[in-house]
Amino acid sequence: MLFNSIAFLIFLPIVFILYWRVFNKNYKYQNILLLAASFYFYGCWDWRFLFLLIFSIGLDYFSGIQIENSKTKKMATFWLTLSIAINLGFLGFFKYYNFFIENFAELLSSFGFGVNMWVLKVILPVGISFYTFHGLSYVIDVYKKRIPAERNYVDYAVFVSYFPLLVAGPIERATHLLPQIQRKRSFDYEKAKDGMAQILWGFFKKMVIADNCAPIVNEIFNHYHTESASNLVLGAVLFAFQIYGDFSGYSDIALGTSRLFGLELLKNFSFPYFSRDIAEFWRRWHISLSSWFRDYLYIPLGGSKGGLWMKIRNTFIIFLVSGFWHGANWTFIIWGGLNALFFLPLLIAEKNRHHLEVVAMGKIIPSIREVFSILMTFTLTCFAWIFFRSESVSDAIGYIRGIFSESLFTFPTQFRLVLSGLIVFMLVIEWWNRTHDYGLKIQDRKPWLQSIIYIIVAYLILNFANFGSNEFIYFQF
Amino acid sequence: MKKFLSRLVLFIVIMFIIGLIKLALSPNSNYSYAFLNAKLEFLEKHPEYNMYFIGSSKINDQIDCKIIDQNIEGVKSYNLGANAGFDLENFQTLDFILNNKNFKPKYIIVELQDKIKVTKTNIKTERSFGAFNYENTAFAIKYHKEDKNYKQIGMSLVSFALNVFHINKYFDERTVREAKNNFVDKNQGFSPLEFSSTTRTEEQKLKSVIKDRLERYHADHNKYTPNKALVSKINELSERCKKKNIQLILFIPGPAEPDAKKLVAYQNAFQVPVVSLVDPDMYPEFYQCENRWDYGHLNGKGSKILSEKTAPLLDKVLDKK
Repeated sequence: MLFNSIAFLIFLPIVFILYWRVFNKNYKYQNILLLAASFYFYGCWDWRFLFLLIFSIGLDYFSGIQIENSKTKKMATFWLTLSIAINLGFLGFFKYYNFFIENFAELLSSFGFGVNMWVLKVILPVGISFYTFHGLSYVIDVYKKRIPAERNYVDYAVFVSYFPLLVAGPIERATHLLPQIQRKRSFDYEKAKDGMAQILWGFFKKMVIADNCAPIVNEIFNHYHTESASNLVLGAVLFAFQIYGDFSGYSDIALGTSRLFGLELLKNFSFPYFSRDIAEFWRRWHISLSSWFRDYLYIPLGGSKGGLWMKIRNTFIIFLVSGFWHGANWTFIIWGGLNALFFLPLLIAEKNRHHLEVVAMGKIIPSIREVFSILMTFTLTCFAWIFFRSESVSDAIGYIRGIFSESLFTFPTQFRLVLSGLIVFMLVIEWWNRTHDYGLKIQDRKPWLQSIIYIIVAYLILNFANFGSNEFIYFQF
Repeated sequence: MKKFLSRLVLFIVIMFIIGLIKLALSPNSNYSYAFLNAKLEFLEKHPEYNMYFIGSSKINDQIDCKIIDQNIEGVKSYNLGANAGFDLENFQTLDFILNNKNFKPKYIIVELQDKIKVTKTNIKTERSFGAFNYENTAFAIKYHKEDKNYKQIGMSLVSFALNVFHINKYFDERTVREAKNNFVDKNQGFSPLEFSSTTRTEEQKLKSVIKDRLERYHADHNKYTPNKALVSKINELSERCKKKNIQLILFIPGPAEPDAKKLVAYQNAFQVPVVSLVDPDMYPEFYQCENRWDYGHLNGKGSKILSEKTAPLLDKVLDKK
């Protein structure tokens, strides 16, 4: 079930009313309802993979208890290793099997060994990368004794499969979400209103910005050999807004929906395109994944405690793994590598934690220096996005080559004035509220102003959105 | 909880009221069939066209205006047909033309249909056309009241409500514009089905459908009476045309639908002439497989025949003063 579908428009109010009207006497009943709703939500996509999800939940639930019950460190390590191996085994099979097989076959053939490898038509279960990471963080946290093992299967299952975050995150931590699931929730008007505003903004970003950029981006990337250089630049820029609208829109809908049920999820985006350098960008883009890699990969590898080379090595590792997490294609790995390269000068100069505060704090417009930094960061990001969006590395190189031609100085024929206006509207609203949690968090503004802005945004959605079945890009990861 | 739900309902109501006001202020603003809009934009800039054909796919895919022009002296015609354009859409197009000074037609040929039917399949099309404005909805209700079709009255009201929000307008516009606009300035608006994405019906199947439809047509012995609401609407439109020195002509193209006999009842019901090519006995060529594309449409060859047969009939009724 997609957030931007009629089915969800019916599903959400039903679950919401049942949750607060019928099951509100006891939070345990509410959790059972959330679990049933989440399984239904997931099953609507493909019920067969529901069994995989239930198995994955059961595995980590059981492993967590075994780790806690282990009398020796060795035993606890065994259960942790088993859980990680099975989790990554599933992820590896469903997501990376063909990639490894094909690359292995290519490698052998380059040495003159013609081999026929078994390439399988593996369907990637929606959200597997997300729920696998939920489970992994849980067992690691239990092992590290950051949290006790969860003994209530329903509560744990809700933590992993909670429908707003099940298929595309944010990647939650048991330390953050489980305690909320385990206590009584009461309806809060302000929170619910806040949730609705965030949902509205998420729909705007997804259905108005991302879905309207998508056909132009597809057209340009699919025919990059014949497009002018100016169109290729436009394609990369529009893809930057498409993926931002798509993924941060999804996160906003997820966070807003969850707030309707009285549960706060981790923030996933914080106006990344207003970043002044790549390090700041990565503190603001897909925050739940970046922090996951920081806590469960970068720090265990030694983090920044070692010397410069150690820091560089670890940085490259997390960026490359992060790229590979997105998909089984060299394009994603190069995308990760490029971001690591962009990060490198900041790391060497020890300026990677230079911009921790919000840009142009307390000012309406940024300084020229800030504008320049923002544009530079955006340009680097767009460059890397070309690899992320291209079907293959050779396509990405062809695309970039195409940019450096005389037609760079022609008017881009794929330019759309209406779409540009909508993007500017989004940027203005987000700039205005950049110190807040999300773009449309305007509850501290005057009520009449709030109402007008909500109505404008709703009207833009009704007029410019596609109520079809456009999937979210991050479903494929 | 009550406060939250009541505020949410209030928000939706306000949105709806704004939509109602917007629709009242510009009833044609929701008219967004991009292909047709592009045709209208083209025509606005080309006053040399003096004859407009308005109608459904039976016009859009079947009337070759070049052939019409070759066979009627002093006529330069343009095909303003749009797929799935039923009565409401056609009347809205006509209304739009009559209200806009940039259009300079002498003759307007409107496909006569007895069809205002909202179905599960076409509810989106109706909405995408945006035909359910206040005037058309009132007319649709009168029309269905005449036939005591209360389900369709309900469907019309639902279509009106959906039309207020007009979901997907921009997307539909863009999709159609990208797919079809080739034919706006080529072929004087005529787009034969050979160039469409619709595949030709397999020959055996087509033969059996044609046979079945003809049998049903001949077996229909019902005595139809014209729908009074439709008659009065068309007479009202013809008066408006007259005031602008435009001659309105109604047109029933072949091939016949199974219920085409309904239309025969309208032959003498209006103040304006009706040109009909619907009778299968008079026009058997429209029921030969080699001239057909699918269940209800002619192919390029059939369209040529239809256009050639239409021209002299039109020529007869044209007021050339």
